[in-house]
Amino acid sequence: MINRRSLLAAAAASPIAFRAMAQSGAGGKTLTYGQSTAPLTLDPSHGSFSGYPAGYEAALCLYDRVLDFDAKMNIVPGIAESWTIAGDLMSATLKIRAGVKFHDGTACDADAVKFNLERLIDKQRTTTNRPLWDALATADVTDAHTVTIRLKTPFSQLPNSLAHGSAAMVSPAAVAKYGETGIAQNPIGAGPFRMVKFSPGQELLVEAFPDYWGGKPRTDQITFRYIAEAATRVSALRTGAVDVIDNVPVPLVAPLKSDPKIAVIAVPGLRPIGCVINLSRDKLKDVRVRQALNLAIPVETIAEKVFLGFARAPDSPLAFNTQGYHSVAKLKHDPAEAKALLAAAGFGPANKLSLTFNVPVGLFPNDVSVGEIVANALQQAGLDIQINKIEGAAYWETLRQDQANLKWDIAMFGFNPSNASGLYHLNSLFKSNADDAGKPDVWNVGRYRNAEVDALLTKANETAARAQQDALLGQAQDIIWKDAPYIWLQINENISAVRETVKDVEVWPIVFTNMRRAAG
Amino acid sequence: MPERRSNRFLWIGATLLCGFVFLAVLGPEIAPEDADRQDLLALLQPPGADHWFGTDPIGRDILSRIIVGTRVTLTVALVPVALAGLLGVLLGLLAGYFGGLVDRLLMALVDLLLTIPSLVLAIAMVAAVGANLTGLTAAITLASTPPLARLVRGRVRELREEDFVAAAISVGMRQRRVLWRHVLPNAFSLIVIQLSLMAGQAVLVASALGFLGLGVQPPAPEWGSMLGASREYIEVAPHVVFASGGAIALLVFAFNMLGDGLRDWLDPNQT
Amino acid sequence: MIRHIAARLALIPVILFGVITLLFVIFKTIPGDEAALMAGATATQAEIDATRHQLGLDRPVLTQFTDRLLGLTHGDLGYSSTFRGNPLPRILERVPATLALTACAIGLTILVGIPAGAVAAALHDRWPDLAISSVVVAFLAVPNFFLGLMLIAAFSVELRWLPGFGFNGVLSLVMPSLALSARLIAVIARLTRGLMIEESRRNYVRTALAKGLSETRVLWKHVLRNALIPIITAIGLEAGYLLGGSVVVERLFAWPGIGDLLLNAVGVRDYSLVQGITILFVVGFLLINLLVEVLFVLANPRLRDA
Repeated sequence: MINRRSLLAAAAASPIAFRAMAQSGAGGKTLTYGQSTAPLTLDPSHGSFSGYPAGYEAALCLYDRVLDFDAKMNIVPGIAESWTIAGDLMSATLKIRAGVKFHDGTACDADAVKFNLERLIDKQRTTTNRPLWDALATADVTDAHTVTIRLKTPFSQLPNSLAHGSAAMVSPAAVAKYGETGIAQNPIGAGPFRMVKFSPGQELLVEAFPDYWGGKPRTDQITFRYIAEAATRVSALRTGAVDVIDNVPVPLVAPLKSDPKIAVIAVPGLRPIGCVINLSRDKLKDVRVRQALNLAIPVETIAEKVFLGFARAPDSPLAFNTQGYHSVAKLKHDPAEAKALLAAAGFGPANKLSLTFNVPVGLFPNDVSVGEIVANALQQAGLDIQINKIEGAAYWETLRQDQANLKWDIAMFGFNPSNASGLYHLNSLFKSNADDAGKPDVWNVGRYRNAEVDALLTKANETAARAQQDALLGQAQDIIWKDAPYIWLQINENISAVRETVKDVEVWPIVFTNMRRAAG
Repeated sequence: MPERRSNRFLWIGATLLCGFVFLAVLGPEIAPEDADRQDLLALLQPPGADHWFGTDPIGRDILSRIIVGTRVTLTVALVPVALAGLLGVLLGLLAGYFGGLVDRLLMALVDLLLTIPSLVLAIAMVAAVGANLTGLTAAITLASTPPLARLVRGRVRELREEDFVAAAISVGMRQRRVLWRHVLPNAFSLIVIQLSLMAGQAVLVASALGFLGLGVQPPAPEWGSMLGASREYIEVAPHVVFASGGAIALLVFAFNMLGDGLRDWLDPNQT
Repeated sequence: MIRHIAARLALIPVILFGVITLLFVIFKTIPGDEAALMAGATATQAEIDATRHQLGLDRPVLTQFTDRLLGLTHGDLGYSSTFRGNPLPRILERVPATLALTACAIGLTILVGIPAGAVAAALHDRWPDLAISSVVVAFLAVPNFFLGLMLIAAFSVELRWLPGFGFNGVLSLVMPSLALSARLIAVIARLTRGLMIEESRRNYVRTALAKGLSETRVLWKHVLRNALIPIITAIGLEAGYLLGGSVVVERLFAWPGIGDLLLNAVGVRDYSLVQGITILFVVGFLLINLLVEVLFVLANPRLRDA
């Protein structure tokens, strides 16, 4: 494991190191990025760009947002050169920088920003990511370069929302020209690259936008190419057919590292993977049963052996570097205690607990393998498990169903707080749904309901001071952990690989591989 | 000389298949380990003393999985073949014997299905019905029935013109009896040969579907799915790929040998 | 001959009609709400109903069927949830890749399979025949995805001679077309061998040899020519397996053809796309067989003026 540790150390420093090395990048090159998923549409307001995370990664190049993240997930200026939040968290002022142009030549000024914010606020258009935008009431233009946002309730997370990938600014003229649905294939943004050719599900070609406010990007052209099979991706990187790949499977890291022409970038992720428990099922309502499920899984072994150390067992519902993370307790692996708890809850050899387990294919790292390991571990603890393997692209739909249509008892799931905010994460997964019988509000697909947690989250939303907010979130995490609404599994590192001549490809902890500042 | 060669094929095919059937029936008993037992501390072990074929990505003994998987693979491939056999023979008999409108309608349907490449048809069926045992069975049955129906129909039409059939009818024998006692037995050799060859095809289609992830649910050790799941490890642990791929090839080989041997023996006049 | 070809071409729409009906029936009988699938995972009930109305799924089935047929006559394949519209242009974008792969495979079959069979026939029962026949037997049994994997492992991973993915340049065609054509090469080689051996036993061959014509000449000019017709016919019949096999090979090599797209469509249950691509495969199969018929007639001068 020594190799891996030194790699991690190098990786932690690498985005900075690469950037420091790189100012000389001459540009004038084409970079090809072999993606493990493919963007299917490029309209930011449609929530997840269908094709996740590929859509976001493309959007990071095509669009600019009001605010941005740097490689360490700090919020930095974007189209807004500065911003101020009122003390009562009920309004915010954005100063839009001058000279920002969209790809079609129109100006990205306060009016354009207002237009876009209203689009995002509109519930009818953005059907997912609601926790990011629900608190916003209006966006008004105070002068040519100032926008004032007013909120319905105090919302401490506003900067995170504005930096989120879906808050991309689209040209109002383009929306008028192509129509609401046309934007998906004709993305006119203000980002450093503009679209040349888009074959959904296959390839996206973008070229440098010379009038970009931040200066011409260091690469002339980027090709996003969809390569579903990991082995093929890796092979393509080695032969130089592509310059960057994402989602490198753990067993292939070693051979890649030993290749002097290739650099592997591994960054601890913010996406905890687990099995969401369907709390509407009577047999799973007893907390002892859920605790037993957790005790049965050898999480440390999975992290060490299956992921070769490129993953860690979680000790909180949030991942380690998420804003607001609080360490709750280490997971125990004790099959004997698991059996005892199950027996206390009324399950045993005579009355076996039988569970249907939905597992996606190709969505999360080693999902099928981990799924089989989990099933086996639960079977060792005396349960009956039936695995339902579901194609990646069709998987989300099986999760987000009306309560009556849920066909699973446990299902593998991992949420990526793509604005790095722990509050956003907890809100999305653990805030009670308005109506458990219908579709979940966001991703509380297991129908978790705890009034204390709800109160804590609401209060955290309204608290400006970080320290106090974090304290509230910490309490929420303690309660959620004890309730065990998930079988907690692992937090993976995001592993991408580049040819060593390529500089400044940022691998963000939120799974995205960011190409916008890369140079060949 | 031809006699000797055909016997050799037949002998090889039959022996191999007996071996596979043996494994299918007794699989779990003779496998050295439980096919589902995961040893998380021994992932992707190369072949060695503990595990003759090595271990797979989650630490299961590959040899045991191949052995136990014989039953799964044979079931997924052969049940549809049996069904297709029944359906195909029935359709071919009806079309070939009665001719006329019945023949034209049935053969139009059969020809229609024949224009769709069998794997594409199977995939479309799986898309419709789902990637489960029912879907797979329906898919492979649908893909296998038309060629057999056509062949049987052709043979039955030939036989219909034969004297002994005319004789039977003139004596007043009922249609059904004529079909059963005279026509079918004479088409028997053709049917048996075709079924053997179809079985090999079916194994290829079934394992292709498994490879593509459209097969049975895990942790069932179906060989095609095993091959598909081990794809990404081909560089670091090639042994996982060879065992399942080799097993599929050997099984198909056995069916092909059987079919060829039967053909040379029962119907030496066919090309 | 022109009349013959025209008659065959006229048959194609009829066959397509049958296939479309068959597929329509299959997909309509599956359980599940088609509108919900089309609207996407994140749609509200209102959006699903709107989609249902927009796509005309609330009309009687027969109306939907006739509309679909009419739409197909001017290239509208229906609504694909992947591309949010008529998928036909997207599908056609990918056809050249599949075409290149299939053409290459057939080319390899002709260039490798026929000579291999001829050599085996000429030297039959001697060691080259045994060698070729063993290879044939192996290729008939080895699944194309397994062969493809081993080719990638050998030539892409180990030796780094060939690119293991995607369609860029002639070199990238080598491994996929090898993997795809292996089985057909075996079938054709074996067929060629058998036919030629049989043919060479015929009287006219013995006469020609007795007359002093060189064995090679007899072999290539007469025996092979007569065996060509059934060989070409066989290629046409086997084309179905070739097209089916291309689906797997495309997925394995990340080849951007319609087979790869079909698998994506199945994954998201985009039935319009599945239907559209299946229809295209049928068209491909029919065209290959038409080509075979044309060659058949060309190879047989007697039929040419019929």
